[in-house]
Amino acid sequence: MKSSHAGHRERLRRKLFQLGADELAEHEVLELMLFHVFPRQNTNELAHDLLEKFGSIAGVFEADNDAVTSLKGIGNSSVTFIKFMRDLCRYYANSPVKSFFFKAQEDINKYLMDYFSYHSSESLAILSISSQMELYQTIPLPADSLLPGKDAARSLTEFVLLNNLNKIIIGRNYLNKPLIPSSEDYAALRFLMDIFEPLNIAVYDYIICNETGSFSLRQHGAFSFSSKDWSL
Amino acid sequence: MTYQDKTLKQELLKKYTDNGFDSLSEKEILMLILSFDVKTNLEETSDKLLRQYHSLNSVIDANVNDLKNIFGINDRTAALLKTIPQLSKKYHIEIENIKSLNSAENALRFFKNYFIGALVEQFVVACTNKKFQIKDCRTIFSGNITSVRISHREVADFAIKNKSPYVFIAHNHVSGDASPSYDDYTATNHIHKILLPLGVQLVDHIVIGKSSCVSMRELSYPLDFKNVECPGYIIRKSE
Repeated sequence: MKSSHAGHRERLRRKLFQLGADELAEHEVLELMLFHVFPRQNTNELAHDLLEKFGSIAGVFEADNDAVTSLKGIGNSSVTFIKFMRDLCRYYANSPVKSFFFKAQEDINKYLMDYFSYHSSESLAILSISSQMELYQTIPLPADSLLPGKDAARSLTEFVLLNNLNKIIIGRNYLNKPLIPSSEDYAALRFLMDIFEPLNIAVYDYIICNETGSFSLRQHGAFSFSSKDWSL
Repeated sequence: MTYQDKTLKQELLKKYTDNGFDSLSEKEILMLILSFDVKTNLEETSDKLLRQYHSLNSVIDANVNDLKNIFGINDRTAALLKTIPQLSKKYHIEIENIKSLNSAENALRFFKNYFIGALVEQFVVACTNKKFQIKDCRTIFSGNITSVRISHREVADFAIKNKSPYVFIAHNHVSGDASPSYDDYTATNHIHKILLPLGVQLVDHIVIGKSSCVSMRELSYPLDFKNVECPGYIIRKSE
């Protein structure tokens, strides 16, 4: 592929990643989609041709297969891909909402133990939850992410804001070490709460897990110094 | 791409073309998306992603740097994932082609499509003519995952510039259902009070949640804007 096309694709992807798809024109969104089936072709022209022929993205998605393959460069596998993308778009908008709520402390402990059972090294996990204790996502972090320090404070804050976190639970994988929280754990918890509570980001719990059990610092009174009550 | 993954891709494509999209599990859909990236181990990467994000939609909405740095997704696949919400939004808006908000049902469908892909709370204003035909619709404010701050002045400014007699406002609840909060009701009353002397009538306030949506005009909660009749706007009576 000519380097001008490669440069154009790179610029378009960068625009997408920096500004979001909302800021792209319709033909640009379609072009990005078409990169996948035409790795070496000028998809800008193709995107324009498709929109001109079928009027809109919905028109392209709903077009008859024969009408699509009549365009130069589009074969059966491209049509299959376009139909797959249409079905995926329908699914994205209409899939049943999967909600998972932590109703009790035991739910959280069990969840983290299951999660860490796949891990073979010491690691951390941040559970992003809603105020109603619905689990949004589980984010792994390296084990040394919570060592207090100015750089750590800044990068953790950036991380939380970037991921739209509002309320979190920290899990720490102790592998086969006994479930006795270290001074490092208490220091890490204090460090996090000092950064996050002024930003109204709730640190709900800090739980250490090994192969056989878990230890919740909240259940053992470690949060009694918090100025906020984020009770379950 | 390994021989195993090539075979898997062919099998998944065959399953899709023979039996349709509904025959695929979320893991299989994700593997098909990833199969366009020749360096990814399909099963292992799909498993890791679903374990972290719990659903296909959450993978699609995930932070792009995490997808690339933690899961090794390449730029091309990350870009494809990131276009899905916008493609979905445009597709549904264009397919439904709702031009008139003459009923609560239409308004709910219109704004449900408008908020497809929204990951933060947004506040939207739609201006219509007396026949409820949409003249302009814009996101006026964008907030975070739990709230959005609004300026009533900007809402009034938008309505006046469009010379619209009728205005609809809408916002989304990123998590939870669409039940309006007390702040939502208060804000609605304030906006109505500001608009009415300007000759602009607030027709409805639509709230779109994750799995439900409400029209405040249809709710039984007493709100000032409901005291002003809106001839021609159809609402469903609650049983």
